[in-house]
Amino acid sequence: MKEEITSLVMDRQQAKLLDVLLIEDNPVDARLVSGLLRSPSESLRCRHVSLLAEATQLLKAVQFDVILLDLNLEDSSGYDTFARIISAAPKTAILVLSSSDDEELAVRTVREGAQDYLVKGSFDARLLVRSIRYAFERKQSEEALRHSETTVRAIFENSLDGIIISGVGGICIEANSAAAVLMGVSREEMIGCSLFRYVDEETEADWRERCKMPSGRTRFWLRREGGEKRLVDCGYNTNILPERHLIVLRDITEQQSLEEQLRQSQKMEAVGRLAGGVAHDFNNILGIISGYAELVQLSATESSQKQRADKILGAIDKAALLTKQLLAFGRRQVISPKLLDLAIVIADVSSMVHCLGGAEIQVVMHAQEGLGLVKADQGQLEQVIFNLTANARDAMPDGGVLAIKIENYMSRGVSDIPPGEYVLLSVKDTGIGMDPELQSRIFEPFFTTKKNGNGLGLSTVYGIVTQSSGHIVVDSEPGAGTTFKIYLPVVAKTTIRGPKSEARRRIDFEGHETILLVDDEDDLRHATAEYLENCGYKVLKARNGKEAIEISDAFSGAIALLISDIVMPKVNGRGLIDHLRKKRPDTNVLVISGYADDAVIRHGIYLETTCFLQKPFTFQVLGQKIRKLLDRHVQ
Amino acid sequence: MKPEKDYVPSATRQPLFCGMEPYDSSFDNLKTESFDPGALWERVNRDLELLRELVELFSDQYPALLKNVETAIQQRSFADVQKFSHKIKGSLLQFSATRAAAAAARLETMGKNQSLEGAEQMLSELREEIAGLMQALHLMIQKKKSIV
Repeated sequence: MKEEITSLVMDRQQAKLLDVLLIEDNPVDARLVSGLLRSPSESLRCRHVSLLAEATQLLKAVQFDVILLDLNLEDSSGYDTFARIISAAPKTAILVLSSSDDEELAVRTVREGAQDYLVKGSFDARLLVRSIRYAFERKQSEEALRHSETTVRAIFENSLDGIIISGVGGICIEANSAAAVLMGVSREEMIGCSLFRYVDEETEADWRERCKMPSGRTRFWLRREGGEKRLVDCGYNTNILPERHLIVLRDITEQQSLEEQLRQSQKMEAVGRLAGGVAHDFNNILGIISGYAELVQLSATESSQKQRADKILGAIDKAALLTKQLLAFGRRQVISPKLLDLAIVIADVSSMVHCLGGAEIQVVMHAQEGLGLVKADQGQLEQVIFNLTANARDAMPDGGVLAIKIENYMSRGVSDIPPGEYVLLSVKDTGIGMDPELQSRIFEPFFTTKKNGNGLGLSTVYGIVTQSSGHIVVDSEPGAGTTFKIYLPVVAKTTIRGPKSEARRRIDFEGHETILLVDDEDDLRHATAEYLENCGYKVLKARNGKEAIEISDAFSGAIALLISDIVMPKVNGRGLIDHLRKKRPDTNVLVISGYADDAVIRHGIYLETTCFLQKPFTFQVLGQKIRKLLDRHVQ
Repeated sequence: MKPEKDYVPSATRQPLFCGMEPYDSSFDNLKTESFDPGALWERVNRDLELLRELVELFSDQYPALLKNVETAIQQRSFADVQKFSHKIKGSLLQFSATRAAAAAARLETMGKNQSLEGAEQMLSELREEIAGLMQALHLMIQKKKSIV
């Protein structure tokens, strides 16, 4: 009795109000069941209908928790009754009440979704109520399980990662579409196969070893059906069920490649920054040497002294060219298309090309006389030559000949080149050459055949050439070398005289104005000040921006020109210029820097191009620039 | 949509043992091979009112059902023999009338197997069993009523 009370109390505590539909055409049975349901538990609400038609109609409008179903009704009988009800209420628990003790029918209905099968006369109130409640709970659990299964299945089917369930011996039992795509086979082909079939031999041993751990993450190479290798990130969990192992695979081949490219480009960026920094410092040093050499030259009384100074200045010119190339390599030059004579460009980069090529490569350069002029950015064209040189060098690991040739070219429109006059720059190597398939992809960004290549070299070349309204053609055969032909349209035929061809002249740039000269390089500041004072200027000297501001504030006269470096300790060039523009709006500004133009822009200083002078500069150029600025101001 | 409250059989909370009466040992006198009054009393949850209602319902129902079975046998309508026998059997099972239910089950099987040999004899047996059952049921109700 005590046990009975406990059971009933528990039933009541756990009770949830359930809505029950009784489908029964026998009045005695219907009355008994509804009576039994009423009595011990008020947590059941029962509605009774006699016909299947009534029931299906009602189920369209009302959601019940449990259906008590007699299989033999006036309008339906046997299993058919059950089938029609479960289709009308698939989410409702169904409890079959039958007077036929038919085991076969009972099994069939339960297998097809009935929660229980009770034979009339074999249950009392307690059993009935408990059966109803259990049926409801089981159905709830089934629904939750079905929901979970549907969710998991959807994740499995739609996952972008390959998901595999494997069994004993790495046999694939189930695989999603992504896994099949990764392996390069159909899902049907995968199932039943050993997964080791797809693991690359080089990493198979490692993979087997790692998979002895209960769970973990690893990377290995897959060998696809076609032989292609893919790098995968693998998460695995053994025995998620007895002898069922979960393997999740993510293809990271492209990611790995991009990471490598990023590392490479970051490395190049760092090298570029380093090169730019070195060039800056070196330019400062050159500036000092150049300044004093010029002072010596100007004050020389003997021709031998003057000649020695000329030699020093000539060497400085060559050194300055090297630093300029370093800056170009570091991509620190602002793009500014202008008329160019490619012969001069080639001559400028000649030493760098020899360096890039290395000792094993014989470099031959030839420029036709009377070349037409093209409009392009010199730094960019230098970049093109460097990239093609590096490409040629890599194509000739055992050495060879690199021929760079520039000539005028007239296109009649017969080839792919539109009709017109061009300057043709051809870069020819005697390297390994390329097949047509490879040739079709070489200009794709990030496409590379080199182990450590970033895949940007030729795509950059292509970008620059097209940006300059040019055309690029590649001519190659495996084993027969490669020739890149770049056609740049001729925009003018006037000859440009390079700066080297200009004779160093002594020009008188005398002045009387006051100049505030700011540079943290003491020697350069002293040399420049001496030159300017020789020219007649009054020079106020400052070691940094802070000192310059103090001098400016203390100086009562007019300051016609500020000559200032950009990167300086304490107050930098920008701070100083901002201050002077406020306090002395009439003062002209001339920025001198060992960095290229873009460094000035990066420091947020707006200047006209005429107000910038890149170190190292000759005093002759400085004097000329100063006069230009001051005389323009007067005008 | 949840069902309306208007068909809730019991709208008010009832005591735990409401309607349940103690077992009456005098029922033991009514127990035969054909009928188990104790099992019936437990099945109706010791609810006299419910038992009375069931007996009244069955009293109204069974003559027509027997008549239907008889007509079906005469007309050799196997499906009807099966159907009406099945219906009577259901009620008899609920009343714990084992022999009567067994007779109804045999008739049902005959209809299902389309073999009515001995069906009239079996129907006669069923009539007798139901008559005995009804007597016992009425006695049970009256006995209980006099106690209450």
